[in-house]
Amino acid sequence: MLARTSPSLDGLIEAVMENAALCINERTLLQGVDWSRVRPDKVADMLTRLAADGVRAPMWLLKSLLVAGHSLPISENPALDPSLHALNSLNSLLRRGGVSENGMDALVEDLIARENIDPEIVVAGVRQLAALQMGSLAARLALSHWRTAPQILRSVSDDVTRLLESLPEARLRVASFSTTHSFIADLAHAFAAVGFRAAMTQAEYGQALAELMKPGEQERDALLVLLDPEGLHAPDWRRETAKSHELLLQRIDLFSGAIEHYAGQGRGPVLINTVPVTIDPTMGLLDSYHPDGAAHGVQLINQRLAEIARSNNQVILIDASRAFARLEPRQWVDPKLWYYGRLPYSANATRALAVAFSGAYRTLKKGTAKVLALDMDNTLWGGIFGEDGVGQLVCDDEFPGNAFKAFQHECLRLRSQGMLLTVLSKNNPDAIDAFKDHPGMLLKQDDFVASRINWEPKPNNVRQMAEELNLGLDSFVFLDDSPHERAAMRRMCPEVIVPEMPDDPAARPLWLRALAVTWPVRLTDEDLRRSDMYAAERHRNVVRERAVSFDDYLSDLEQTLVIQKVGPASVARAAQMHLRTNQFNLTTERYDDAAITGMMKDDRCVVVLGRALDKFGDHGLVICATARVDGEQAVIQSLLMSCRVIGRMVEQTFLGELLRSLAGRGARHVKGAYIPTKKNGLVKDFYQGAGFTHLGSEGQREIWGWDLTDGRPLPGSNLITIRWDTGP
Amino acid sequence: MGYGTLIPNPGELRKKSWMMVVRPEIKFIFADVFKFDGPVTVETSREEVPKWDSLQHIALVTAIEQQFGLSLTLDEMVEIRSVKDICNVLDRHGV
Repeated sequence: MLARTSPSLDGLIEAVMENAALCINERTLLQGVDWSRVRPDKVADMLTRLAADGVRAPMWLLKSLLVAGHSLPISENPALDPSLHALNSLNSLLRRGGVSENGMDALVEDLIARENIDPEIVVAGVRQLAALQMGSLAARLALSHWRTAPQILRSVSDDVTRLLESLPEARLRVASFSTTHSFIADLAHAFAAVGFRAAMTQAEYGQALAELMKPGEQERDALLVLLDPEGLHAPDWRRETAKSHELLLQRIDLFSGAIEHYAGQGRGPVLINTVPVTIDPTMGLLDSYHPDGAAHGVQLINQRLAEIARSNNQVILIDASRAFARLEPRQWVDPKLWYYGRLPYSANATRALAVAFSGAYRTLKKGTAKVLALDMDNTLWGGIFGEDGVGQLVCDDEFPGNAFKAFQHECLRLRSQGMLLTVLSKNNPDAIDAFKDHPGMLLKQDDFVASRINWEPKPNNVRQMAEELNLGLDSFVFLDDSPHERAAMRRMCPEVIVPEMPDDPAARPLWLRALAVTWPVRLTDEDLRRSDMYAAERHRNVVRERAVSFDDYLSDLEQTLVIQKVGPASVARAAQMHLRTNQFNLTTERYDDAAITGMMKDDRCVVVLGRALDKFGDHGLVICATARVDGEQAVIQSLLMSCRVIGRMVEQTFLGELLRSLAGRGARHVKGAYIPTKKNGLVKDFYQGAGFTHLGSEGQREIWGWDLTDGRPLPGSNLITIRWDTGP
Repeated sequence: MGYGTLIPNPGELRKKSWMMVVRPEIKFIFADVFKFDGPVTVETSREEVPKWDSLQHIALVTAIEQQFGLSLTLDEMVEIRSVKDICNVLDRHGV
């Protein structure tokens, strides 16, 4: 009725709100309201009316109101979950205006610690904090939930930048077999979320092997290698199975040899992800054990990586399948991104990997937590010692006691891995006897290195224990079922790690396994000794036993460079390379089909292309040059290469052959230019590295020369087989 | 393009009305992905945005997918060369 007299949208919404009770009963209309456009007093009126009608506002309604920025009277719903509760406090602070950042810290810490929080709540919280001018808290909240809600960073990017400036630097070198662009962008955020400003440099595109064998000069705190399924395992279906399998094994040898080589150079840790298990088989049901199976190949690679990591504590392995656990396997890869730009993983998967790498790095730098501070009642056992008495406490082999027992079991596991156990409980001191008097307890009093069982505030107790054990507060992980105790600990001892333990005791044992602050990241000396024993028994193959040098790596590749003059069949490829290549391109001349065809027909011009092959396969026509000879003078007009084969001496060898061919045309002096663009900094020193002489500069153009009369050896590597393809 | 041209008035109106106004999310994305501080209009195209190269294009597409909760195809990825193209793609996906 109202709608007819007042056809505006606000009128319609008002009509819906007036009939809120009906809408709630019928579960309709109210869900569609955009609450951010409704005035707070109207919302208050609606809630008052509902209360008067005896209709309880449902949780979905309260949530949408809170997410839209409204504040609810505290009495409205005592059952608001803690994250909504925190958002409500934020909203009412913003309504009242003016607040000290201190009181806000603990509220936001609660939101940060809550791992499975609804992204909508995070987005709303970030927005409110930003509106309250609390940029650094907004940035921290956004970063902490960036994995599940990446878009929120966009609204606080300035605050994130400011926050980054205050963080310690992590110098990272990133290498891969594929495109690392998205990975790098994600690493910046992932590292910020764990408290580091990532300063990154990238190895050349696809050059993980070369980077491991011959690391760049760049200082680094760690090398990160993004491994993908196709980087090591790209089968050629024209080969027989046995040959194909042999090649994969060789490739794995080469890669693992390179990792060990790098790890032995004292350049710091190298973090590598495993290859995620593939679900699309190449051998159907046989996939996991047939030599041609994709899953089998992945297993072989991962197994070898694990062996290397087990015997070398500079090698840190990131388990990709674990990193991807929250994603459906079909979302691990985004085929469109792979075909468009060789991005090996989907956006979500890349983010998950970046988070896993940053987590491992954080643990490397800051160490694993050292002490578990455990509450007793409803944490280590079910029930309350002081009220129920020891006989009624639940911790045994029946449900629900078995969940508590399993939790104690996990505590024992951590203890066996070097974690110190302590108890921190509000109880009379005799509660410790429960471990002795209750038959179901796995933990015994002796398992605890310290205990505080009294009625003092837990933050005070934890400080005392820290002194007693001579450890920093940041070594403590506090596990308590009470949200109030957790909040108090966060407020009073912000250094203590206070994870949000699940309410359901059944969820806790596995949750404790997943708690990353308890994860060891590096092998201990004892682990290494143990793995030496394994290693002694292990069969080692030939490639890995000998020391691997860069030359060994080159000769292992068994590269061949086949050079051909441009012909009608290759004009298009030559033109395409000229038009598309940006990075490895000395002059960035954009010769098209017509220009190349013209040169092909011109006797004074030389247009050559190179095809690179190695024992793993054929890379196709990847390098191209054009030159012009006038009497004794020759000029290299363009020289460009696909980055796929960079860093393996192909470019120098090709240049050497180009010089040889120009000499054959009667040239005695060859000139080449480097013309800088935004993207070709990579080849700035190319001519210098190849042994050319600097002749001078013409504007931006650097001119380099080679004198063919002095009989110097031409650039190139004798580890590459050269063949001239004279064509049909 | 898009189905909008085939649909009579209401759809057409809706499309036009928001096609003239670029959604704030898209402006945010341009600021974030391309650090672009010029005006973002329907007419803004790849040529005018200096950082819009093939690598940042991937970041753009990923950001659009995240922001609007959809998954684009390779063709759509290639099709997007301006803000108008983005609007068309979003329209086709019904967001």
